[in-house]
Amino acid sequence: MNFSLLNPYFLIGLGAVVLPVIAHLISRKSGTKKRFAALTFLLASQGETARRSKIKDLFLLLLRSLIIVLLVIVFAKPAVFSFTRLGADDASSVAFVIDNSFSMAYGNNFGTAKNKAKELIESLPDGSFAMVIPLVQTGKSKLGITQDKKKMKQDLNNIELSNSYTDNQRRIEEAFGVLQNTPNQRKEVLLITDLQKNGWTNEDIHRDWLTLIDVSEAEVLYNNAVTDFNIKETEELITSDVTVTNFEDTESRKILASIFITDHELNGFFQIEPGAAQQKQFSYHKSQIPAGEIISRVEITPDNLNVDNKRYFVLPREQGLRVLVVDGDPREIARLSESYYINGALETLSELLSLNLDLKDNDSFLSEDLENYNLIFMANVGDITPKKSEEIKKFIKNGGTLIIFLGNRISSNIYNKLLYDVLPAEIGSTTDGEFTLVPENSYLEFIKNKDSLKGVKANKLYTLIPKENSHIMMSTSDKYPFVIRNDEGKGAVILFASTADLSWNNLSLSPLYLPIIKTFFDLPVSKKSLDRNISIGDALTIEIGDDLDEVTVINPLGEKYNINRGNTKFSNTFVPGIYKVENEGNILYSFAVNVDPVESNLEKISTKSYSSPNDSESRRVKVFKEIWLYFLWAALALFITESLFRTRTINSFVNLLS
Amino acid sequence: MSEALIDVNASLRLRGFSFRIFPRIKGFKSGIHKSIYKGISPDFVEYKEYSQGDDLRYIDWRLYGRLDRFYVKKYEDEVNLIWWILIDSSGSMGYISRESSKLDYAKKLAATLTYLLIKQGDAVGIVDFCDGNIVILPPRAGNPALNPILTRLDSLRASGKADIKQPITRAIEKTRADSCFVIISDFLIDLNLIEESLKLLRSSNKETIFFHILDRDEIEFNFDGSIEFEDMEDEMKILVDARNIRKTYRKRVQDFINKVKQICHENKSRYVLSPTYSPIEEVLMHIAQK
Repeated sequence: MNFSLLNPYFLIGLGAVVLPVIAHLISRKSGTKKRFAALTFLLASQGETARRSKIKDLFLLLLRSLIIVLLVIVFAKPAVFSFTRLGADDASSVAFVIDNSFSMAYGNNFGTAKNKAKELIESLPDGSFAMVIPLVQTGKSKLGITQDKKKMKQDLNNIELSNSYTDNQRRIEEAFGVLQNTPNQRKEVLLITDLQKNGWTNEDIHRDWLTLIDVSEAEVLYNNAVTDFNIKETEELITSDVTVTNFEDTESRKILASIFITDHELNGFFQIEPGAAQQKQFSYHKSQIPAGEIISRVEITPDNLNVDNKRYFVLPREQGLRVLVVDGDPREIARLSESYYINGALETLSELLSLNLDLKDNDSFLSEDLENYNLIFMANVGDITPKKSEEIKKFIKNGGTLIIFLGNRISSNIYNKLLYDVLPAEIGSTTDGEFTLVPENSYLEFIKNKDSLKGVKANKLYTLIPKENSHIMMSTSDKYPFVIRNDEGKGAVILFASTADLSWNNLSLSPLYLPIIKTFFDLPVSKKSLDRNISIGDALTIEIGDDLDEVTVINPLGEKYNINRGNTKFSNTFVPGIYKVENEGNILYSFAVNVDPVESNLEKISTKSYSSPNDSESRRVKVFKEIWLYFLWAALALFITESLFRTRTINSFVNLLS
Repeated sequence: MSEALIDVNASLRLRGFSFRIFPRIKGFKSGIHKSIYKGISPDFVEYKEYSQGDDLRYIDWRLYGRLDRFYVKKYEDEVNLIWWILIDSSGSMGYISRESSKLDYAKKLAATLTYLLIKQGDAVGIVDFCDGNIVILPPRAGNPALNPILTRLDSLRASGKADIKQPITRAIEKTRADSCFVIISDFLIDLNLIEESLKLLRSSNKETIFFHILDRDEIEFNFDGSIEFEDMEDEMKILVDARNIRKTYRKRVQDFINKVKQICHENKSRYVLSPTYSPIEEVLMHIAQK
């Protein structure tokens, strides 16, 4: 509850408090003049009464001043109010959107948000429609609007903290859309939130019908989080990389990180500069870790937001990498196909590495789920839809490696438009000529002798304009970039300026071709375990063995979900932790679900983002309860007291006092 | 003009009354007061056995016939009395709350009393005093004495400070005969001075009657609010909250009246509280006899 004055200008009347003081002072200094004979008795009497008169005068002065103050306050119309955009009497249609993103777990923000929502529901005028929904849908909530306040409160109680975040703009637009079906003219969305920046795709949040109610504990919130955690397996060691980020604006105290790999625990301390991240590596000898799937987790010292103080990682072992080769120009005669030489190289490599190869044409590629692959080769793939481009971006972000060969079927415009975010270079026009190749980058340092590339020529290529952070791995003697690499998210993109077959170059005939292709498998990013580590809310394809019809997924809370061959997608990934896939009590494998560390940054959106300077105050409507009547009663009571005091009724009391 | 000072109602109502004093006095004219000398008054007092030198006219022959012894009848001798009326005309007597001031009331009281006393054959002298200024009209009897007294009373104006002792002393000096002193004042002076004056009168064997004139305001103090009171006899000022002070004031005034009454009682003097709102006849009735 907040206190306010509806007519604050009346407070100017408080100046009248000086009136009784002045009257008191004047009456002390002068009175009605009168000539009198029996002054002797007055002199004697005054001595006795002076003290009690002084007490009485001061008390009366206080009473009179208080009466004036109270009357002024009565005119100023005091009221208590709650924040809302509702008019006091107008029936409205309101969507209460409760921010349940995981940053709301900070302190008691979520509890405060629920209490505030409860207050607002109570203050809804009769005839109002409302719905109470979480900002992040957890699968249970529906957009149901009602007039029943009980139902609203029930919906409110059902809202749980999510471990994720969502597209806030989309969600509130969706809520506002539902309000359009209600009869009330006044429609508004109240988002009760911690104003955390994440979740807003841009800074322009202002909507006429939207009010943000801030329930965060403080202007600046502090948090440390494990922002990255992964396990790698090398020839002798199992190493884990732990990244801890300090989101505070002061240097973090010593943060203890405990890494648990199967039954082994390692500890390390982090001390991180403000706003910085620190990565540390912890290693185990392979002999310490039993064979089979590695289930690991890292925990840091608890703070105000604990959900991001843990991360999990599952490393499946003895499993081959899944490689997808997309042939944009397949031919009946395999030798003429765009991917012929790639396939050859991969088949050779499969003798050295554990590889599962898939070959798809352009059409099949468009309907293929990319999540299951570690590497994708796109050879002269001309048809890319916007949806596919998003899948490709996600694939790369999650640690996949994409190798793109260009060719006559591709359109540089489409590539530049749809894949610009992940491409290492902007694709220009084609250039004909006779180009010899030169290695440029340490990634290809195995090409010790530059002459090894002698005889490797290209007669046509796309001019590539490298981006700032990309690396040119190979170029032509004329300094045209030929192979460019870009690390994006956890993954990488390698772009060839020419074709994968022999039509524009003869690289695939070179003895260096195989080592170059192998290089992509040696990239750490290619070692990702795409299927075993996902983020909250992501869907995962559950692998069901050939001999099984159904498996059970058990989440960290022990809840079980049956998955059958008809629908292998599992999307109930709302709780961070280790999920187990089992069949009849036998654990087949595990996977880890982690919160998105983006949400750990508790930076707030700026105030101007959601309110313009002119209307911020006018848009804030409050539900008032006027309380001036109480002040009036108090003034009346004081007035009666003052009257009694002036008469003899209370004088006797004063006599007793004095 | 000066006759207006005499309260007609009082004089009519008190027509059948007389003003007497009880101790025997040494009067020199025939009057209504008992003389210390046994005389020719018709009032029989006692018998006395005849002795040589007694007037033979007062031998009771009837008693001689029964007892065969000579007894002489003794009678009261009545003489007229000298009344000194001392009237206070100090500044404080000028206090006026309603229609008349204390001095006006005092003048009316004095004039009416003078009239009645002269009517019963007494001699009346007037002393008015204020601020050390004492004017004395010597005692005279008979109707011709009335007019000068009334004129003098009429001319009195309130001013200055009161001093009671000096005028009493002066009046005592002026008369040797037994006399009665009537002092009309508000007695807003030092109580010791009043006591000294009374003792002086008593030692001079004078009868004394005090008429204590007070205004209703002075007794009841029915003022309200903050008032700056200014003394009527000097420059003293005092600011008081009248309502606050009233109770204490009334107690003070009552204590003062009681004290004056007590002093009078101790000195065999008569005290008559005479608020200006009391009718003159009621006040005079306190000292009148049928």
